[in-house]
Amino acid sequence: MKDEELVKQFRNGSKEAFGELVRRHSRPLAMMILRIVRDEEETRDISQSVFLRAYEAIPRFMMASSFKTWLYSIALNAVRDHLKRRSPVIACDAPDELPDPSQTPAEQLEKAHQYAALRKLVEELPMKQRLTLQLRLYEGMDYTEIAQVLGGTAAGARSNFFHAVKTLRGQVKSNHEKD
Amino acid sequence: MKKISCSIAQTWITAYVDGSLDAKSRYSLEHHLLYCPQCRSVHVATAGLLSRLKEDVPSEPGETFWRQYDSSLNALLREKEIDRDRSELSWNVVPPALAAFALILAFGLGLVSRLSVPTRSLDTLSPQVVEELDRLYGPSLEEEISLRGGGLTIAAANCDPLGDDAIVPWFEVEEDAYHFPQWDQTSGPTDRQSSRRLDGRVASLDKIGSALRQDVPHRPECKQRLDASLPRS
Repeated sequence: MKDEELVKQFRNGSKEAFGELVRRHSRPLAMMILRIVRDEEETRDISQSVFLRAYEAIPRFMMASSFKTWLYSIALNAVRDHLKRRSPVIACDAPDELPDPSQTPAEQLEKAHQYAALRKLVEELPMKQRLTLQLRLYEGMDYTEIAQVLGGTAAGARSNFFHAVKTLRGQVKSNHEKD
Repeated sequence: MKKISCSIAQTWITAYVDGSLDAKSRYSLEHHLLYCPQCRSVHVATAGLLSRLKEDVPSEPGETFWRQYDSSLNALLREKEIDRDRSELSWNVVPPALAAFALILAFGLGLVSRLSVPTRSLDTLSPQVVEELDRLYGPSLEEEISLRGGGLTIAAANCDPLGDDAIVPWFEVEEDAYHFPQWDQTSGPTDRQSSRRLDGRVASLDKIGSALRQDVPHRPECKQRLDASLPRS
């Protein structure tokens, strides 16, 4: 059954319909949030608040976009609010993935530092560029989808992505030259 | 094939690495990269950057996280459903509660107006209205007659000795102290130490009738009407 059908059922009083929507989207949504905020506790809080907001707002959902797009736009608003409030993450965080056994400890440490520095640079990007970059790279969204969830146009999303990459490339190069 | 400048090539490189460049532009860019070392280095840097960004993703949380996540999310949503049910229930209760309140208010206002009507000045009302009010609420002062007998003092309304067609639609009974022992067998008052008014409409009509008949021989017209309108005991 399509999401939109479940939305209609929920509006007609079926509690199970919303439960099904939650089951379908809760984990992918939490993973999307986790990839941006990089903290499991915060991910849980944001994700729960998103579903509660959706529960309240679903009677006003006009179905102009898909339910997923609508849900993700609520989530990204919540993420944006959260990131604005949150103090920046310390740059020397350990890498999230398991160490590559083919690398020496020194190489692993060097890589960890590179990732941490890169993360810090991403955090310093303007919010829309940062979210566009993350949605494009981690969620595989096309620019039309990004425009739908973040607002704006597909061309604007493409431009944000381009500027984010250009800024990061320039800063990585300048950091490299300093080292 | 169209030749492109370095500035255009560098604008396209991000889309090229990202996989969103159209085929024609891609071909032109690839050709440009073959002979332009500067743009090639930009391409390498961009590809490396995006590759590192893609690699640096947090690993998926363990099953414990998902268990806690699912259970706390379900608990929150259940709470929300209960809140919604409560709010719907309270909205369902509002209309009947309002209706009940309106009924009570109307009844209260009716009672107040019923009690307050006899105290109004009757001089300003037409005779027809006065008569109607008398019929409904009690006597006007001129038409009240007082009769005594059998331990009762009966104030009867509209028992007009001049002979219009009024009967006794309203009366009050005062119970004289130490009299009228019949009350003991009935549901009447038991405190006979005091004298008080009873609402005529709860007293037995035949008792009232016999008391009135006994005490109205000096008012034959009234007695006639009583005989016609009140039951004989």
